[in-house]
Amino acid sequence: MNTVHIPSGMQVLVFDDLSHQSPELTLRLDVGAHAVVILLHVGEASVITNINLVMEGDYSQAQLYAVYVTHGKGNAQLMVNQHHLGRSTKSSVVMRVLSADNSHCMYKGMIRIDEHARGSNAHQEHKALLLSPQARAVAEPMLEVLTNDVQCGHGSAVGILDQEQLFYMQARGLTLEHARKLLLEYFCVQAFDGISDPAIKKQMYAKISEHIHNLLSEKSKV
Amino acid sequence: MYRTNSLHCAVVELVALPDSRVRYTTIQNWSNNVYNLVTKRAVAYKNASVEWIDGNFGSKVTMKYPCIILKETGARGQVISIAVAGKGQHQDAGAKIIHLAPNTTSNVVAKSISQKGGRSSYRGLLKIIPGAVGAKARVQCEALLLDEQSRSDTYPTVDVRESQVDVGHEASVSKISEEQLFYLQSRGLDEVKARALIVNGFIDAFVKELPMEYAVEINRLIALEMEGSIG
Repeated sequence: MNTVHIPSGMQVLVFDDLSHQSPELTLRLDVGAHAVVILLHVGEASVITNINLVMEGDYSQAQLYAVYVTHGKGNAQLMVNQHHLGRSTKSSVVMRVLSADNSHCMYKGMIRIDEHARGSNAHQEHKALLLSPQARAVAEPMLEVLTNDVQCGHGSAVGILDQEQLFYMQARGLTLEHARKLLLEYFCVQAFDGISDPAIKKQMYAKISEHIHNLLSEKSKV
Repeated sequence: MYRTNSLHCAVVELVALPDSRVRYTTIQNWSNNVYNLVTKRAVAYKNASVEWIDGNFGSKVTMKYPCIILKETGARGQVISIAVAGKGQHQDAGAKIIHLAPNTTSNVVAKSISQKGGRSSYRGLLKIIPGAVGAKARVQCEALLLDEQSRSDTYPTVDVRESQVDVGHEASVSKISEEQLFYLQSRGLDEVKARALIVNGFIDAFVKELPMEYAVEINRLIALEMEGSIG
């Protein structure tokens, strides 16, 4: 396992092709340090990614943004630990999952807030859309909170595209395929809303859009 | 108080035949040296409804996960529970919902209060098998920590193997907000009463499901548990 020590200041780490470099990574954050991790996984490969965000110093913060688009027989797993040791530390995980065909995607997240990490703020958000009846989504968003002066929560949702939104877009003249594509793109891209760097955002948007296009055109061929 | 550590292990099984409704309500307040390890399970057939209403107080360790198997079309399940963990106690409670048929729905509301160094955990499973088209499930966990030594955990598993479903899980952990406390005190309540009122508000969704006699009982239990909780 790789351990990266993050001194104060901000650091952005991007992993935009997990099938080639699946990171096992521990980030240890000093006082006031700020880390942003961006993960993008697309494809059939089976990958297990392990990320530990350790907020050691007071006022340190970490964000993880992840988008997983799986198809074929892909089996993707993301495990994230958000470990709060310092006071007034902050962390968040935002994940979006699209699973097609027979693919599986599993998210296992743990927020742990230690006794001394007063004033901490930690969140997890996981949303998955299943594009085929054989796809499978598993979520285990866990919390361990050892002190009371915290803001802590998680949300997880699995479902299908909002039929009303699809209908609305068709009523505005879009074809069903186009409407689906836009809504799927939006669903994934939402995960990156919190990223402040517009260049990285743009790059991610382009990749996601391309992959969804491929996914949908492959499906229509079948 | 029993002289030695004791064990209570009950098994409760409910069968809700087509178009029936079964509601099972329990409030338990065990002595502080009882291990309370309980099995509760239910099957709901076509259009039947099962409801577990479950209050956990006392005991040394409680492990209790009421289960509902939604076996046929249109079956419904609901679990509403509250756990209060005090000094030296661990309340490990939750719910297990298994959707085996189309158009089944379930709803879980689990609340917990930890105080005086107590630990409460939610441990749950929500599973939807392939073919359970149109299944809808909601899980909501809320934890209240009354002091800084106490602990709250959440260990849910959501396993969805069908695409035409609507599943949501939410959990939050919080303390009594200073603002609410300040507001109530500015209205003339002392701190003890103000905190009790906030706790009562927190468990209201549970209490209002209870028959009147039980509701009276639970309000007394909460008052008793919270006695001396303010230093």
